[in-house]
Amino acid sequence: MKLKKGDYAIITAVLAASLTLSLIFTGSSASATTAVVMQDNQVIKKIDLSALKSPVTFSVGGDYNDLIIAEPGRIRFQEANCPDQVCVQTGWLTRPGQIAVCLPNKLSIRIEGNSSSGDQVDIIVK
Amino acid sequence: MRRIIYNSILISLALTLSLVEKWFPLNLLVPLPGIKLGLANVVTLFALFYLGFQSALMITVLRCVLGSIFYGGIIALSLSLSGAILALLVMALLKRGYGRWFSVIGISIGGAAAHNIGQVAMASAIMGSSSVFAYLIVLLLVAVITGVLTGTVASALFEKLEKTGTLREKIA
Repeated sequence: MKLKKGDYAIITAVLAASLTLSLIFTGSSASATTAVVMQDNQVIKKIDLSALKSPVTFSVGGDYNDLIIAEPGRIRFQEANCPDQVCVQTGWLTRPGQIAVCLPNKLSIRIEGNSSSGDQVDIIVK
Repeated sequence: MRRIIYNSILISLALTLSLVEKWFPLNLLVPLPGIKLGLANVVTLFALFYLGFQSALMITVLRCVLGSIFYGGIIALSLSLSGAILALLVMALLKRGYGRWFSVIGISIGGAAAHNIGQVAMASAIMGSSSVFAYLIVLLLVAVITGVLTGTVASALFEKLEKTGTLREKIA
């Protein structure tokens, strides 16, 4: 396996793109988090996960039905009747920048940081 | 005639490979949509190097269409088409620098990354939201690894073919 100079350039470019995106999306690494639930590019629900005291579940309709459960500090797709189940497999979201998407239902959950202080670079590796 | 036969063999090979790689559920390791080994990319690379761009394009498009008929739907089709075609275009472009600047592995990494970018761009168009681009953070990291793996397989295949040395003349 002989890598050429250009190969390293490609690898560097791909890693740099990944790092740039993580800078854009991760934002603050604050422990206080809000979950933003969007459908069709409209915010349909905002939940302050850090203020949550007990689990909350709610379902979202559309082309398919998704059941979302929010607990103190975390949120996930609990159940969905969409064909690919990618949203459910994504599991819990806990940190700012993390996202779970149900593409068939055009539904997404994204975690945002509440406080604007302490912007730190943080690559999400699940 | 020979070209048609090669194309159809490669399409079925690509379909088989994408079926086989479902037995290695990489997305259980990294639970993100679009995570896969991309073994079918070995076929695309082979077609690109030994049959030319036109054949590679035909194989890629037909593989996606047939694949989505077997398992998937219209969303799966648009996602796989956008990813596979962008990957092919990028690899065809990088191939111009093959030997001088890039090896098969580098071209394969470029293709894997382009595949993910194409898919996420399409997903973003379907969702009407750019937030899915956050997926690329991890997808691109994985693309480097899977690109090296599939590129190594393709590289080994090409070396064997060069050694036996008959194929290039036969098809072209």
